[in-house]
Amino acid sequence: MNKNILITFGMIFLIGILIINLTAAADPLYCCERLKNNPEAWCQDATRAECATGVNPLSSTSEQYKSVATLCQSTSYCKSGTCINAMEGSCMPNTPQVVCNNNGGVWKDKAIEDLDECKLGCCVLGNQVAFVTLTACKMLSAQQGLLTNYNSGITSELECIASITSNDIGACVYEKDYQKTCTMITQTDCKAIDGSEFHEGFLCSAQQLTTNCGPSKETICKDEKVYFMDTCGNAANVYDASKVNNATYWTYIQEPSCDDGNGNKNSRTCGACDYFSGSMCKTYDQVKPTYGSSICSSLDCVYNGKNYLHGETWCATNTKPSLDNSPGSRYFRMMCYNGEVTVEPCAEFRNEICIQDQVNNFKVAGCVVNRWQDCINQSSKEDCLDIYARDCKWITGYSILKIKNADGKVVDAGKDENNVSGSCVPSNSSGFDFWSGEGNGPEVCNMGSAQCVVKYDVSIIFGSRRRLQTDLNYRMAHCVQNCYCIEGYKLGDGSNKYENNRPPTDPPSYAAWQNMMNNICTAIGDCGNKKNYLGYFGENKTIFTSEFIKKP
Amino acid sequence: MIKKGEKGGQVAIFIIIAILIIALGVLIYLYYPKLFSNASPTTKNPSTYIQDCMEETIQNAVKNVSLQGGSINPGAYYIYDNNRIEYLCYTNQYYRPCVVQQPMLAQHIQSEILNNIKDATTSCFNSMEDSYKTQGYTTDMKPGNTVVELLPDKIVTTFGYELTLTKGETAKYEDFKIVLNNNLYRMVSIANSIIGWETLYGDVDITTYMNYYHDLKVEKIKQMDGTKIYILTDRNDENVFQFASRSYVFPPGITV
Repeated sequence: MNKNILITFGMIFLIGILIINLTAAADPLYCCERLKNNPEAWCQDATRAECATGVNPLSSTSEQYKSVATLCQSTSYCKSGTCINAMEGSCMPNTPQVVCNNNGGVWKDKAIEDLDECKLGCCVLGNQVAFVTLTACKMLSAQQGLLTNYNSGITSELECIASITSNDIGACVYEKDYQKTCTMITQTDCKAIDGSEFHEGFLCSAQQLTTNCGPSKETICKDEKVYFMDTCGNAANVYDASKVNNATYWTYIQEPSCDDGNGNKNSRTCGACDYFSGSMCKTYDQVKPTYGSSICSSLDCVYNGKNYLHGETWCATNTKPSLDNSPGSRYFRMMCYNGEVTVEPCAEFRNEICIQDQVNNFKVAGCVVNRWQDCINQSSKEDCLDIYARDCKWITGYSILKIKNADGKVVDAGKDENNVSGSCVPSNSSGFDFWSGEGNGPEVCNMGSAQCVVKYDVSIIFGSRRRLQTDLNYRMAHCVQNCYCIEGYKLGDGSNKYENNRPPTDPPSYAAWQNMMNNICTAIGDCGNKKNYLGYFGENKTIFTSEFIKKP
Repeated sequence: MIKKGEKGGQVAIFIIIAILIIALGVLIYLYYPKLFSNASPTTKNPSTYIQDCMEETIQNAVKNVSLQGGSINPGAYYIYDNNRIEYLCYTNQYYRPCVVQQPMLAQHIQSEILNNIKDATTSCFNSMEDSYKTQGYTTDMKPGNTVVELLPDKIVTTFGYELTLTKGETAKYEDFKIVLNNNLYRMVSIANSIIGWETLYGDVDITTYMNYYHDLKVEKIKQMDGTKIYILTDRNDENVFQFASRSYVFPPGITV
């Protein structure tokens, strides 16, 4: 009986210790309806101590903030779904139920693409369009006093914008202040003017309309292009200096014949600007147009003495090319838009890299995720260089991955197709925030540490351990394996036994081995012996050490 | 004794003076409101009074809200360039999509602006009433709801107050409106679109928006903790809307 009680107490004691250890090992995550401290974000998985407590001020029934020991997606209150703004007809994906309801939305436990009320289409609002839901279109049309004109068949914003047409603009002739005048508007707008006549395809400056509007030498910006302006202030045809006195060009709506197909940047004579070719109508700055004061101003950029086209993006770093991927270095995506260069930094710690390509001499760049994390786990060269899975490179000569073979011996695990040892390392080494200790930087760098065991063959009777440690020539003469790890070794310096049977994959010198090891180490991350992004070495540490062990 | 010639001269002077008085009377009759409104700023039209009193307050509220991601006092924010920029989408975890924090951004901004101008509204209407009282008007003011609307190209604030002024005649003024030329409506739509991408894919290509909207500048500035600051600038009027997002963040090094 006593024995049983003792066993029971013993079990309780052990289970108690286990529970305490487990609790101490990792704080379980709670679904906090709201976090306590900044950021006081809604519906986050965090430790219980991080969850807000007290009354939720947004709750209509003065409920307490909730926190449950499970992930938010498993709770009813923080489950993510689609939040519908019934008034505006807009939909927001991945919104927790509580956040949606608190803000007066209608929450649905469905993905946005599965909800009919969230499907987008093209809403025509006069001369403008909006790519919105039907509800939003109705609301926008009502706000502007227009009939709803919605096309659900258009499924992309670009298609919607491209559908804007202004072909039905023409000369609307009417009387004002006892004068026959004219405005360039649509037929619908013209009908709203009492006693008006609409002349499709005509300009107000047409002589046969006998209005008070006539040709002029002034220009005006409209729809990002330069237009001739008639004496009534209407935009006529696109500015073409050669046609300033051409009666036909001032009579009918026509396309210009001066277009160079490249946006007519800073052209004195042609106003056919094109945003995507890099020009837009602006008041002239340096180049004065032949007529008027508006010009197709170039939107291209000059940066660091180089010219970039409008819309071009390219890569840059905060360091010299020779110091790429050094500690502190970062990639940037540069953009030229509207004559201005802006900078988009890629993610810190080189978790993103910038890649650049060129299409018809037009530079395109982007920040992409640096998939370096599983490089060092790859044991085959083929897997290492799989560009669809990771961004790694293969360094031949030494494997940082080791395994025990059937005999219990530690052997290289990283091999290429010819069974030559090698290591898989990131193409662009990552950085670590060593100052906060997050990210296991030392552990990652430690993967690059290597031990090279040099074997010497010395006589038990006549061999001298002391001489082995002090006499380089003696050491070279007796080394039989991995002689390249002896400081100062060059091809041919080793014993005959080594040199005659030297594996072809062995580095030819100590310097070559040292260089290879440093390459592997520094490629893994901000590890090893390298300069930072400003070109300074860090704390000077001996990274190659040696010791002698006598083995039987 | 007055001579005959002298008497004729006096009559002429009196006639001239009479004509001048009549002319002055006609001028005053024709231009009465303008003359007095120019002479005294306190008797201006009630709509103009409210416009002058409230416009700057509304502009400031719009600017503050726009610089802080849509809230006057954001709860979840990132400090950037001395501004507390609200997270419109946030996750505190690595490798996870963000959770939307403001699904009804336009309505939220409208209510934030409204709350921010509430005190000034009461104060302006009260001071306007007092101003008319001191000018001898009998006033009857009925407060009503104030509504802020974000509309394409403009922000309209409608004060549902009613003011009746009586001084001999009675005049009734209602639905005071202030219209600001500001395309915050479009900025909010774009912010919602960006948040939609952020929550699904954790990122967005900002050049897409600059290709769609030629007068818009979009900047994305990634911070050390993975937070992204988005700055939308209207190139026409330099109005700015900025907000923060944290989604699909990769940690430095390897963290499980």
